[in-house]
Amino acid sequence: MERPADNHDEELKLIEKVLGKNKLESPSSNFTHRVMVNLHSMPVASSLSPRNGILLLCGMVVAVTILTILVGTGVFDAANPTISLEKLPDVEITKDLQKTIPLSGKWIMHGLIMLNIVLAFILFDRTVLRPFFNRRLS
Amino acid sequence: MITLEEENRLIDRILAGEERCYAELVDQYKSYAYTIALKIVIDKSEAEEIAQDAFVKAFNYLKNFNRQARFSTWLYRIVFNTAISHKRKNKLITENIENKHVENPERADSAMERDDKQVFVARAIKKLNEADQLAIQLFYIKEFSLEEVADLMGQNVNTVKVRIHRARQRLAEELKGILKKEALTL
Repeated sequence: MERPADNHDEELKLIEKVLGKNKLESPSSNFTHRVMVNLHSMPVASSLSPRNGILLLCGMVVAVTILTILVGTGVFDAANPTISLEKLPDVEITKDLQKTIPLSGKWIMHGLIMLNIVLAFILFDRTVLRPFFNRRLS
Repeated sequence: MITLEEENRLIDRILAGEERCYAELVDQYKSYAYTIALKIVIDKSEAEEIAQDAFVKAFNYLKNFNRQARFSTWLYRIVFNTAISHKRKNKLITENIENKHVENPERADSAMERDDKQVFVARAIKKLNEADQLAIQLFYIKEFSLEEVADLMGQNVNTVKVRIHRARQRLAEELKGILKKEALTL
């Protein structure tokens, strides 16, 4: 590549001199061995960085704590909505069904808390435990 | 450097189940892959991890390699993408060359002068955008051709030529500013 004609001659000389020493770097001596050992263990594709994962985990713990407190204080005890099936067409299949399905707010919240805890454990495994043990193994 | 024919023969053998042949390809290209990763993430251990991941990925997707380009071109692109996504995810704290300079005051004068030049150029390079930094650093490694630098950056050769030309201009300007500032503080 031709040198540009400008008033930075000295600086360009310095750049050429310093960067001209750029050379290929060599990895550690057991590099090939380590690649061959890990050939069948594809790197874990985690879409979350550890920092984001931990933040999300903290959010989930806070959500579970709030839900538990609310359930504990009985906020959802009185919430017992029903699903009405009266508007369904009166055909053979729907004849034997109950016309309303009762729901318990408390049990829905219990379900949500359980789901949150399971998701939190999965998240903890993916973002903290697996990267940590993979690093230790390698 | 192995020929294209030898490379294709090796790939055929690997695909036929002779996994140990892959070690030959790894040996052939490990320095190239490691250097690319190192120029992107700076940290040596991270660069090694990235280069290893890239080789493992390349092995696992080898059957999808269509051989329209050389294996090296395909591999460099995998290394480049792996390093970029790794950098984005982890926001690596790169080693600060300037701190190194301050921490080691007992150097011989000539060594100090040589290191100072490197520090000034390194400082000026840091002021360029990431793509320019990578293009200019790889361009000066004689083992990488301009075509290879262009391929791995996903740009055509002329675009990379212009990029390097402009990056050198900017680098010279930055360097001039840095040297002027240094002269004033003496």
